[in-house]
Amino acid sequence: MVDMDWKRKMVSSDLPNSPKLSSKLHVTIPSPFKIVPVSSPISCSAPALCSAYELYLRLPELRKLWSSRDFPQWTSEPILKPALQALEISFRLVFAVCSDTRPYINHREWNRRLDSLITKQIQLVAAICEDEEEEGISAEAPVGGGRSSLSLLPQLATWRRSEALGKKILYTIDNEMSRCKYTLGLGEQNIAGKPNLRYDAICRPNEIYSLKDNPYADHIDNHENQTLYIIHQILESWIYASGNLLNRIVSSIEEEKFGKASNDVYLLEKIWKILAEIEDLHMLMDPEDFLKLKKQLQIKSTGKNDAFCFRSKGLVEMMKMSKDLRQKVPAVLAVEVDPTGGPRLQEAAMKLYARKTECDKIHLLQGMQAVEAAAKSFFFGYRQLVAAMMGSAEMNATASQESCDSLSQIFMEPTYFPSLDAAKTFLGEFWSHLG
Amino acid sequence: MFGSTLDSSRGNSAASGQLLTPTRFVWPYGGRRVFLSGSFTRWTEHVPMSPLEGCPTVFQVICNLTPGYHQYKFFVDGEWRHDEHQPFVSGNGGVVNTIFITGPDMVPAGFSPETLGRSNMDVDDVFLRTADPSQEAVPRMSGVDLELSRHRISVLLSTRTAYELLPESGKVIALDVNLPVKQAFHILYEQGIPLAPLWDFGKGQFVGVLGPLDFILILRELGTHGSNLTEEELETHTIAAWKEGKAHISRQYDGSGRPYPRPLVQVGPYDNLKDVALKILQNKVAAVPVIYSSLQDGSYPQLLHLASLSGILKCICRYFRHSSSSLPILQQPICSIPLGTWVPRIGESSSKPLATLRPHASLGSALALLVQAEVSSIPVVDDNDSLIDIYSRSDITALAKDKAYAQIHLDDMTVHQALQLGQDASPPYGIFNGQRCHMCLRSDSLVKVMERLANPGVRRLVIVEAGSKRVEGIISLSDVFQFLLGL
Repeated sequence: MVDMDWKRKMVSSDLPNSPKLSSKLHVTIPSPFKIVPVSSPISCSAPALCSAYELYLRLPELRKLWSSRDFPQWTSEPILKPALQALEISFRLVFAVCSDTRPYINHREWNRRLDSLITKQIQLVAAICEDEEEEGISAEAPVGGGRSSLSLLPQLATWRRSEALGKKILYTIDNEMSRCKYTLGLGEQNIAGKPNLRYDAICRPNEIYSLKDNPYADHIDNHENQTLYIIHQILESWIYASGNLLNRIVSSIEEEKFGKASNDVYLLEKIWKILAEIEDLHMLMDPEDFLKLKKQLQIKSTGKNDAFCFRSKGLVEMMKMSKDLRQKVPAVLAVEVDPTGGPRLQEAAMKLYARKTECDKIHLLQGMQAVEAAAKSFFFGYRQLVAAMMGSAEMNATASQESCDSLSQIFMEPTYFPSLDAAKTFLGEFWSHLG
Repeated sequence: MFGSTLDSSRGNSAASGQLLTPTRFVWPYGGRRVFLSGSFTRWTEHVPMSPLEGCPTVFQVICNLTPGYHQYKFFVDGEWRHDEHQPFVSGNGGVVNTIFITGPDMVPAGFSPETLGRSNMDVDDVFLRTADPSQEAVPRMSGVDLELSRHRISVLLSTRTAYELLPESGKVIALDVNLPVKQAFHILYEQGIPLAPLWDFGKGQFVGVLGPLDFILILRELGTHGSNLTEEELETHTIAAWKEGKAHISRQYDGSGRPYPRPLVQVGPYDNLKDVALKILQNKVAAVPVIYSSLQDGSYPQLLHLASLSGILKCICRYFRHSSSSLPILQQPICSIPLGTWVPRIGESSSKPLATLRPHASLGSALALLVQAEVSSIPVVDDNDSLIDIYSRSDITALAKDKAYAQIHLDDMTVHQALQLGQDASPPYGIFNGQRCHMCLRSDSLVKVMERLANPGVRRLVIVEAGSKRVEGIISLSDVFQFLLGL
């Protein structure tokens, strides 16, 4: 939901002054029928908008932190590192919300939402760690040493205003990490005496903390600026983690490790749901302050079919990659597609479902469809959120008369998995006839 | 969610009162955006089609269609197109593809196997088949139907135990191994049973089974090697001694040199029916004794029953009698499924030739065929290959009547005479409804064949041509089980 029109304030040669038209093809269909074109591919906003978004969130600097490989032997690092950084940035959000002195802020709901969001993130981190152990990776995660001294969480747990939530988070870490061989080492009790993850070395909380201010922090006097900034940094961190997760899913399928791929595909589904939950935090912002911020940051729609979330290249890429998982269905079913249109895939899927012998493959295919559902519901929720925060006129401004807007196109798109869809239709039909 | 489930069931078909058939539409010629529109959407709604997983040029969508004639067309990147490889007509609105959906009795289009092999759409197949009634419409079995049916049978048999085969009351006859063979022969004849388990008092356990094959081998011994075993010897020769001697003979017949003594094939009352059936099939026996011992070590065994495939088939038939639709393959005609042994058609080579006998063939040759071909019965046909009768292994016990075996020479007696002897004797088994020979037609459904085979004493059906009674093939109980269990 962030867009900056930097043109007036920044003189930059790499930001072209060309009209910010969507790169999306606008197709009108010359027919007497009313047609809703709903399968256009998702694409990013104009480059200027995207780079303004990146600069505001300091994504280039964050990207360096997410992508640094400090432990090359540790295969989960590319996924777990940005995940832990998202968690650390969430602690900063707790800090920001608790130190917010505006009397009209809904502190109670903020606390509940932050509790829920952080719990879910810890659950995801724990799930990634568990999977790592199941796979028996020889290169162990970097553990050892004392607990983290740089993370914000230990301070949250002692500061009067955030004490309750901070302690709750520590309990949650204890609970959720109970099935893992190590713990995060953020000051949780750790009665089992498990080794601590080298959190400071992996996550680098001090460097994360150094990015606490956005470029506008000095001259925009609006508390929601900080909130908006942090929320999007959490969002982008998870998006970055998903990109690496998606790569891992694809290579697992190519190596025919379907059980591993199905684990990861469900993690991906969960990330999509967390992204939706992060976006929903916008609802807790003060409406008037938010709209003022929108003006201050020059967030505005540039016309047709350009939802604000498409400024995030990472999100667009994540969506494309999630959708492209369908290209792996023939590999999972171990059949080639019939280019003339025969129902080979559908038949193979029906057999797979009916035989129940290759459970990993069934789980994987179900997981892929779950990802489709989660991704589509993210965009559906986002569209509702924009309308709720900015008014439905803003939403409608992005939609042209004949075609529906680009967000709706995503969630109205027909199934990504037509063969699995058909297999289920005919299996259902089959059983309904058997009565 | 549950409401819609009810609605879609057959009895309470869709709200419109018509049953909808899911139909697969395919546009395999690429495009960026492809829509389907047709009479079934009143040409107003455009259904977006999805590119197939891993193949962006093939677009697919499933629509629920009411029975009847429909027109449709594809809308590809702003252009109306039809597929020339699917049936089409030229009408007022230009060229449109057509499809005919038959009523609910139709096998769902996506399920019929022809469509799997066809390179193009399944819908035109439905169209062609219904448009041309002269074409012989033999619904072929779908792989999925078969899998699901086998699965259901497998589940049923795995959850039932041999205990359920036990009749409420009945008798089981066991023979002492020290009984003379000749006496055993008479007992089986008088009791009208084809086989009996053998009890060894010394060991305190059941050691084997005496069946018709034993008598066939004995008679052949008597006949061919008269000097070796005389009729007088038969009076004193015990079953135990015969079984020992048989070991030598059997090695001649099956070159495998099976280690002797072969352990008794038996089951317990709590074994599931699938295991029982597999045991019968794998050991190529007609029946297995169900033996129960209350002690861990299996001592003091009690003979409860002789389990045969017939009893298990009866169980299947009883279970699915009122829900035959849950086993889709049951309605398939037997000629469309790989079941039984068939007389090869001209130009076809068959791995298992079907043995037949002429009525004037000698009994000796009939018995030799029974032993060597490892079959349990041979159809007896006339010169036109029309079925007259059938000679089975168990018919051998008829020779016990009036000690006929003692007076005849196997090569002098014809099969016809032997069968006459049996008919006069008419032992209670092997006869069902006063009929010796059970027949069926190639067009009979599998369920009909199974129900007839489930009758006691019917171990096989001869497939005959309607009218001429020419033998076309034979289906035995074990054939049915090998098919149902997917062996």
